[in-house]
Amino acid sequence: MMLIFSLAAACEKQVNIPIPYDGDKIVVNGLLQPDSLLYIRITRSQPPGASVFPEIADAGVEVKAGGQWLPVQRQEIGGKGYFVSLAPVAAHLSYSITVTAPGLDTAHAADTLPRRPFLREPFAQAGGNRVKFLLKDLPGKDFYRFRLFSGEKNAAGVVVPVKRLRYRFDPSYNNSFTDLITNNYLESTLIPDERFDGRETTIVMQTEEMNKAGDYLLLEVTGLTYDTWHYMKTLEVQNANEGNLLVEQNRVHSNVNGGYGIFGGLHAAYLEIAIK
Amino acid sequence: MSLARKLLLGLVIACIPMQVFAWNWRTKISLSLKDQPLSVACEWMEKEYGIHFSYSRDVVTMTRRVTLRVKDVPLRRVLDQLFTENGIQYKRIGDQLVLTVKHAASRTISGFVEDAVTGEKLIGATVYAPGLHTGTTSNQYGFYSLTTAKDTSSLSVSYIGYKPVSIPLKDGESRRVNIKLSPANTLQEVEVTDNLPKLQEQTQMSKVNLAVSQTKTMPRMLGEADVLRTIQAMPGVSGGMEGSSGIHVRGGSPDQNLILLDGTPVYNSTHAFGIFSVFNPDMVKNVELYKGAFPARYGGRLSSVVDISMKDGDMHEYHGEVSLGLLASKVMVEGPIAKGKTSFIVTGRRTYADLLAQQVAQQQLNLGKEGEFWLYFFDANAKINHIFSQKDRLYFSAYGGRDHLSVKRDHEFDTMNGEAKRYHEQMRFRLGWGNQAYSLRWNHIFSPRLFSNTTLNYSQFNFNTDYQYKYMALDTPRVQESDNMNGRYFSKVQNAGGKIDFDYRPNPNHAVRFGLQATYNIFQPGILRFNNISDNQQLTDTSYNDETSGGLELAVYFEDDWRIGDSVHLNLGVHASSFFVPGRSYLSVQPRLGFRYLLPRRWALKLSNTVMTQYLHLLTNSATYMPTDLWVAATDKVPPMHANQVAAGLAKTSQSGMYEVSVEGYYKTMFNVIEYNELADNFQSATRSWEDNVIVGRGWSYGGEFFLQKKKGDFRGWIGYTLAWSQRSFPNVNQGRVFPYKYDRRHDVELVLTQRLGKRWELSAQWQYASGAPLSLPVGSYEETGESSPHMPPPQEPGGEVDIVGNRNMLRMQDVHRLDLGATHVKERKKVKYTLNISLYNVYNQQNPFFYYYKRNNETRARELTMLSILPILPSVSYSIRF
Repeated sequence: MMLIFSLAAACEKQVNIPIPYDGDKIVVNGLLQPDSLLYIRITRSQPPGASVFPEIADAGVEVKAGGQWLPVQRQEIGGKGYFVSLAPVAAHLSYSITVTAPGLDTAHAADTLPRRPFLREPFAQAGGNRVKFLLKDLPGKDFYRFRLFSGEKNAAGVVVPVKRLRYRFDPSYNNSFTDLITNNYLESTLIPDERFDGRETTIVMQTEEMNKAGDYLLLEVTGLTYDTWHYMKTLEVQNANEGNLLVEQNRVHSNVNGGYGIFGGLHAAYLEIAIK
Repeated sequence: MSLARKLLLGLVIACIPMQVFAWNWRTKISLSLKDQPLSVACEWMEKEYGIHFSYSRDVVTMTRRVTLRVKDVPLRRVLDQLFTENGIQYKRIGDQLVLTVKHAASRTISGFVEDAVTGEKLIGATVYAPGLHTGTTSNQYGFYSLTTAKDTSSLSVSYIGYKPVSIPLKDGESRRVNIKLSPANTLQEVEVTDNLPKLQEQTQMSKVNLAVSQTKTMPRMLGEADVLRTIQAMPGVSGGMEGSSGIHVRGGSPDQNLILLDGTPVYNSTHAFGIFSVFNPDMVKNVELYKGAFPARYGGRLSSVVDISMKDGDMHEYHGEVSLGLLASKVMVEGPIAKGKTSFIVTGRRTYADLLAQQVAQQQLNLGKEGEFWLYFFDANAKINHIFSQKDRLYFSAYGGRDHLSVKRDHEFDTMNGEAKRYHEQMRFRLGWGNQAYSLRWNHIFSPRLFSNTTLNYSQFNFNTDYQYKYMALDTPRVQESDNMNGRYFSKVQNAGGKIDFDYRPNPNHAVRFGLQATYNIFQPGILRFNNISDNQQLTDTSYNDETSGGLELAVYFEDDWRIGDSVHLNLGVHASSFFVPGRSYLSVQPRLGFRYLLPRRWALKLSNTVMTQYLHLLTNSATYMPTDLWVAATDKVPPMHANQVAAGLAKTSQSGMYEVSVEGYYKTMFNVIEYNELADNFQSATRSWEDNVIVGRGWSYGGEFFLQKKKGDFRGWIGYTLAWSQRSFPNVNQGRVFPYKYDRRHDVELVLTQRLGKRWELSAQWQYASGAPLSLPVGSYEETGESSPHMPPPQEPGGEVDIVGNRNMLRMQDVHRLDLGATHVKERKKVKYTLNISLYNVYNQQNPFFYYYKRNNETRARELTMLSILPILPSVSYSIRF
């Protein structure tokens, strides 16, 4: 209570503290989705506080899929440069990457691909604000990311994501007790299968906006490898705790040796939901 | 024989007695000695009057210091003054005076020292036999025992804030004498502590006795006097984060403090995330802080002991007190249940910000007409003490306190995000934590020399949060939606124990304490329960980590405060304990040694070496002690913590008791301190695999402390200075290198001054300065990702960056300093006392760093390193009426 009062009376000022900087390192950001091309961002790390990260356009990028070279080509998409594979990612292979750049340490990372989640029986009714579906979890450790999009049908009759939607989860999966009082809605939720390992579970998401008849929703549930999960979870916690004076800073996981970032596998499953 | 020979022989015979027996009992002696050993007196008389003394240095203590000025006084009277009163007898044998120890019969005077008005037992009162220069102090229950010469004619008893008395002892028998002291008529509240013997007369070092009256006259934050905040103003104690009332003693962490309330451990000593202590100062009688040199009777924590005694209640008259503050109100009632036999005291305190904010909260949080909003902390104390007989007393103490937040919504809505939709939502969310502590103590006097206290106690700390959520769509049957869910997370640590302590005073040279303790700990580190029914379908009905574990700690201790000679004292002690958890046990023998040597000019040189063991760990990844932190028992992989501390110091209280000065140096090593690496996520549990998230390391702290206090007069106060280093080392942190502990502050200066003005006013000032605390900041940043394809829709809020966390605590915050002022006005009219306190916190509005972080500039999108300061200048007022 006092904390709230005190913080209300808090005063902020910009300061300058000399912070030792180790120098730039290669940052590799690439998430492997089966049956999709691989998009890799290669950038430089920057001194603390930076918000712009220069791309290393001339980086040497070598990707191997199951021990075989997977050629990549630099492309510009949405004003950003990516190294894009010339063939889609295959679900059963393991992948590795080596990135070199003049004056920087060589970066190397590797990961596999996780299994695809099983989803069925989606349900959302017009005038309601619920999305319901069944998730079948297989025995063994699985990590999931849940997202919800509003979608629209393309020319091929396939629903494609258009906009991210916000929702909240049953706290029994993520302990987010306070979401209920703060009316906090999220764009994504990271949940391990500890609480429903090997079972088929009905999951209900409460959406921030009301469902409208004729609209389409696209539910995405993504299986994550341990590295991808650990990266996303530690990043989520770091972002959530930014400016939180009560907790120690946490380190974001990286599986890139000699650099930073994530080169990890994920496997998304989608359910189209037509609101009736 | 010739005449000449006869004359010569006669002359020789006449001369022999003149030479050999050149003195007699009536020989007039002139002597002037000031604070000299007895041996100097003997040497003087031998040289000036030819009086030879014979004695064994091993048997007769000739180092005792005397002051004597006589002129032409008969020898016998001089010898009586020199020796008889010092327990030495003399006998003339030939031309020598033979000195031996006087084996006078002794007797034991024992009893209780108490306030003559209220019957409150006085802790640490000095009971002194002036003729023998020997004395003792009353213990934690006001009991004293002094074995002295049978012919001791009087005892002198004193206590700060009370009129000293001289008690005549008529006969030579052992007897029980209960001593009543009358409060001195001062502006201050009766000071019920801080009157231990002079520092040079105590072997104990590294100890602070806190005057509760001092706490009440010091400047207050938001009108609340705070015992722990006063302790922070002592050298060797750091307060941690700005505004916090937590204590970090000699480089230790908050979980390493053993905080006892009437002998019962209190797990979480603060309210409101560490801002206020849970101890209502109206209830506190005495506070002792041990920073090192731990007496053998204490165990179970590494870094400090804070031993708080609650008031007993007035045995003779009813009193009440009502206090109104900016933040909280307090009430206290005390009085006799049976006059002179049984008394009680009850206090209560509650904050009331929520009562004022209720309506605003209802509107802001859309709670509905039936909605509720509560946000407060409260605590209550009760104590009953009953005198069964001259030999038996019983005390029952209880404490309960809680921080509480609850929000209840019960509302029918017509729209959702601006679109027509009718639904009814009922929601209740609660969050709270608190302590409970109970003790039942029985004092029994076996004999005038043997006192015992038997304690049964129970203590718990629990954290609880739960929700209930009901949702019902009202546009039925078109929309059929309903939810009925509830969930609960709680953690709890409890202990129940018994102990028996003996206080044995066989003679003035030994003060022996020994005892047994048994404590059973119960741990429930994070239990989750959920139930969710959605559209009449049961989705969840389960619990997680619903496990309870226990651990039994057994301990025995023995200590003897032994006066080897007038100048040499030794405190020998040992605390042996064992800890049993299913499948394993631990044993620890902890020697506790203290040494005191009296140097010239009444300075005491003190040395100590103590070993401490802690079987409980606190799992925390917070920057401060949070109520969600979890207590667990040591395991093979995460063994018990140990600490070894050596300290050396000089101390002295001036002759008049006006000034007290001490200088101490210490070096402490800690083994098996832990770091908990679990992510700071929502309401976590210490599952069976918690050990995998812990790294075990070592800690060191060392430094020096200076303390100068003026204890008497209208102008009082102290200055404390600490020079300290505190470090940690863990295998995976900072590449295994030693790094500064998070509250390592090199220099710390505390200045506290109080000035009485007339009979009604007392002004106080507190100024503190401390070097900057260690700081960890990101050492770099890089681009984040969350998408496998750039063709996915972007997030509604643009993504951020990843901060690279570098080496721990390698930077420093800026230095902090602050001045607080307070003024207390007391008016007494017809037995009613009115007290007004006005305080000004952070008088010159110093912006001290609380936290540093990178803040995004919304215009430039750049991130700027920003220092956050809290607690600007804060005026406060509190008013109390005591009747």
